[in-house]
Amino acid sequence: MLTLSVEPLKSRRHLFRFPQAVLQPLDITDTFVSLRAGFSRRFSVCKPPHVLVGASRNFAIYAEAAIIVPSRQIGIISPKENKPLLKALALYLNSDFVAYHQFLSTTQAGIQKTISTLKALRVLPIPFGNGRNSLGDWESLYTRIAKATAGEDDFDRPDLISELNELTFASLRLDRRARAAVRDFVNTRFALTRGKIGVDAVRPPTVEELKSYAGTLRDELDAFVGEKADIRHRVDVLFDGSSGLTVIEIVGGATGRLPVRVMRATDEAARGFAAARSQLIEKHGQWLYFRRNLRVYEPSKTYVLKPLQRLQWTQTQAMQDAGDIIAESIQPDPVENERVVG
Amino acid sequence: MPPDTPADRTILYRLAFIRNCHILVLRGYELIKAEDLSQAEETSITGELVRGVREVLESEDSEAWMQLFEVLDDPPQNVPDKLGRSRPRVDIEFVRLSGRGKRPRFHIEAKRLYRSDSVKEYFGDGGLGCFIVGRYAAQEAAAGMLGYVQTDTALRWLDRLRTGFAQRAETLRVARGTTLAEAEGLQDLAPLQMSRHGREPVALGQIEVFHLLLDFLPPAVPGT
Repeated sequence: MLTLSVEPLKSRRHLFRFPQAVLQPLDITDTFVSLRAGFSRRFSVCKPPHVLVGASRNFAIYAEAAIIVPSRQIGIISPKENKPLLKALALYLNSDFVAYHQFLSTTQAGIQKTISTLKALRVLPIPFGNGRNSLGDWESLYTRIAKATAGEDDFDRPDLISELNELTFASLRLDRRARAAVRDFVNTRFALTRGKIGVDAVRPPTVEELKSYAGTLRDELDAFVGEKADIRHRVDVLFDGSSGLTVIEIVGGATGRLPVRVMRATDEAARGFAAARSQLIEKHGQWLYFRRNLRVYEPSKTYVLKPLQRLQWTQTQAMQDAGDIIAESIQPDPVENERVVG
Repeated sequence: MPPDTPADRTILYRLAFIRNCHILVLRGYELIKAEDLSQAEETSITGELVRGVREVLESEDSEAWMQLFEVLDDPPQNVPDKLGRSRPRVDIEFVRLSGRGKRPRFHIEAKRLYRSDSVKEYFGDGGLGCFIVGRYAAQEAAAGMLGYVQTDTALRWLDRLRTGFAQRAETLRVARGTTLAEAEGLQDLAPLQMSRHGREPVALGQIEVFHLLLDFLPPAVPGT
């Protein structure tokens, strides 16, 4: 029988196996039990095969060794010793969706220590078993991860994590909007909990992230006007070290999606937008000082100027910006055809 | 074509919004058993129609743009001098959710078309008149009328509505040089009609009203 020390696992995620250092043989001096609190039920989750889940959901590991489940941590067993189910469950509990769900289901999360409860775990939707999705995809992903991480204790690799998250989204049948909400929360907004301003939320976005923002904005606006409309939206992003300007142009006679462009302010291709950007900064500089989100409307173009912080350039923010642009275009302010919002 | 003026831009997005609202009405209509409602009261039909629209909105394979739409059945409207239960209720309200700021809304008033005074009711104080006096859609520039056809055919009722509309041009404050005509850009959805009206008080500006007739005829009896 082994005991588990969870302290060294505190800042780890996507663990696949327990590191050797955290497992120690059970010492004879620790072999006492509380008879009043019951023993057999508690001991049943220590017997393999089982899944050990961290109280803060930072790990969920399938194990075939007998390990004592420490206090506050959770042990899961299958009465029928269904190993594929337990493996699938361990993988699923490492997904971004579970992090998102548990954070929003637990009262304490985000306030002080992120400790999720057994109650929160019990309300987690399980996307397999009971005649729903088959375990086949989960089993094969588990096998692939096991092979890919031989000799390592985690699978903290973008390709494997992405595969796990995509399988989770597909199994739960989450749509584009829900997927974006999960991704942005776990990868960006989570850095703003517990009174922190984490670097993941305020760092400059990468070019790929800006493209993703621009593409989502375009898709949202195009979807609103409908496929049968003879107009489409072209979205360009121009950025420098501190701010980014999104230019949304209504293009007539176009079909299909128009490509998005992301340009540095110094690029030759960006010369046409640089003047517009300078004018906007000159005219509305005070809003940038307050780090606000500025939208200026022209008949066929909309300019959105905002600080170059990741938080402002997520997919969910693109959906939000599209919604605001639509609402303000349908009902423009009669006094001034421009909006400055927080 | 891309818009040349701020007004063109507003029209472009507003038309897309109106189009989306009508797509939802028509999809909701497809889901209900229209034949079973050939004798039903207006409120019963509206309730069923809204149920159908809600089913479309909440379906797992609803389109991306639909997820930000909400439909309300018989919501009370806040108007001057009316509070609580005495507030008037528009038959259907569509709301497109957005972030901060005012949300686009589309109000629809429905009337049964089934007897000789139906045209009068359709254009009366409890019908189209509600939009003209600003009881409904006072803050919006467009609204909708639904005609529930329970006798004859939609085509015949459309003729009657056209005649009734022409006869009441003054009462209905029909905008100069306009009439009840096919709504441009929406004919691929359904034979939608559009009319433009002045409002009282004048400060509310003009309102465009989109008219759609839906069949609720009894099932045809074989051999008749």
